[in-house]
Amino acid sequence: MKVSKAPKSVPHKDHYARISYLFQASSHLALNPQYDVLSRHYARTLDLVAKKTVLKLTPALKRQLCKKCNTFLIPGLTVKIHIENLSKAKSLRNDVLVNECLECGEKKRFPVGQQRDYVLFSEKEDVKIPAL
Amino acid sequence: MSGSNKNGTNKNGGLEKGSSVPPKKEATGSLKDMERKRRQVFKPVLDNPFTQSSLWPFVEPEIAGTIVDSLSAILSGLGSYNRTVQEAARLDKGSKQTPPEPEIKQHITIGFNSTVEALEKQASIHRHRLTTKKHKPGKQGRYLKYVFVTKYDITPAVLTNHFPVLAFTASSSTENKVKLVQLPRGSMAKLSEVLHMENTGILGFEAHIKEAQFLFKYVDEHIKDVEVPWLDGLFDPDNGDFFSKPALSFLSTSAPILPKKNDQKAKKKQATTLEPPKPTEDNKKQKPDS
Repeated sequence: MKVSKAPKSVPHKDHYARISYLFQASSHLALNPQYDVLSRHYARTLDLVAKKTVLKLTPALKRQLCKKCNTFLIPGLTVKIHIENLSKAKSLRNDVLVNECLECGEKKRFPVGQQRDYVLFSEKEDVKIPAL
Repeated sequence: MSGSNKNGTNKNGGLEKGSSVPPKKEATGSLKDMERKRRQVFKPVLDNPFTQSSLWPFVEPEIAGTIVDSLSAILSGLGSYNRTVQEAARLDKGSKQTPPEPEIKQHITIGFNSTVEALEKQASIHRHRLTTKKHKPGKQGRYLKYVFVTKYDITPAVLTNHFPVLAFTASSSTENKVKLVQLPRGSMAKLSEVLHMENTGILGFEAHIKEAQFLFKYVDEHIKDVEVPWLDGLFDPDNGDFFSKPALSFLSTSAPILPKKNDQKAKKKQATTLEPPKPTEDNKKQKPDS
């Protein structure tokens, strides 16, 4: 069977590098109360660059930033996590994972009970090939 | 909308690399869609630089087995208490003759919400330090030192992904870190049976429980602390210079083969090949009409 190979180089690698840098800078500054605004600013720049240049980022990266206020979300420090079940029968199907940003109160909800075997597209087997 | 079926076709698509017509991934049902050819493409995707290596401390299978066994031994007392309470509640609601509550119940947390809440409360010391806003640190009532998670029995993975970082931030100092222990597949069923509670997959223990001292010693000896390199600055402000390369990779997916829009070359070709006969046909057609 023919196996086609992944391309050798990534187009516009500098954009990806910039985003990765901004992400880490944002996380670094998130640990310093003096620079929390700067941390959010970097995260916002990251988001804008990714949109403008149409890059694909994995959910693992995007979910670490608040959609509303761009806070860097660290469990225990800037985000509150709990499971909510609003159904009367408390059936497992209606479990919802809620991530609440402690900075602005934005809630991100994951209806985990609806499809227990759900796997993210980026975490499926044999899908990802590391770029050189 | 069957998940398993979807996965199956995807796998096939991955295997038949190079063939020009991998099976359609998400069939909408229409024949036109089924006919449309797809080709394999590689899309670059940027991953989170922090989640590249697994943050969960490694547990050897044999060690995990003994941990599960001793956990069920420790919790058996609480389990029998739970059973008698449940039976009493089911048989008749009037009598409130329940056995005395085991002491251990006060010092452990069972389940996702109570464990995560306790850990977040522990982490609030750091949160207090990190925010400029006025924020009251939670009362330090309890300190969960050992957290057991049946990682492989809990799906989807979003439910357990945050535990390493949460255990790290909930630690009071580098010496007194919260121990996070992942338990092997099938241990959720065992724990649920022992405790007489459905779907028990997450347990938190305080450090001073007498019955569990041997287990804690065993865990301390055999399982490493949680390491989160990018959060090291939390305990030691000078030690916060973690940097990793952009985590780039390719996703192998498929894209439909569509005719190009606004393809000037193709249009010109068509025009040159089709133009000569066209007028004659038109003329022929027009003649009988007129």
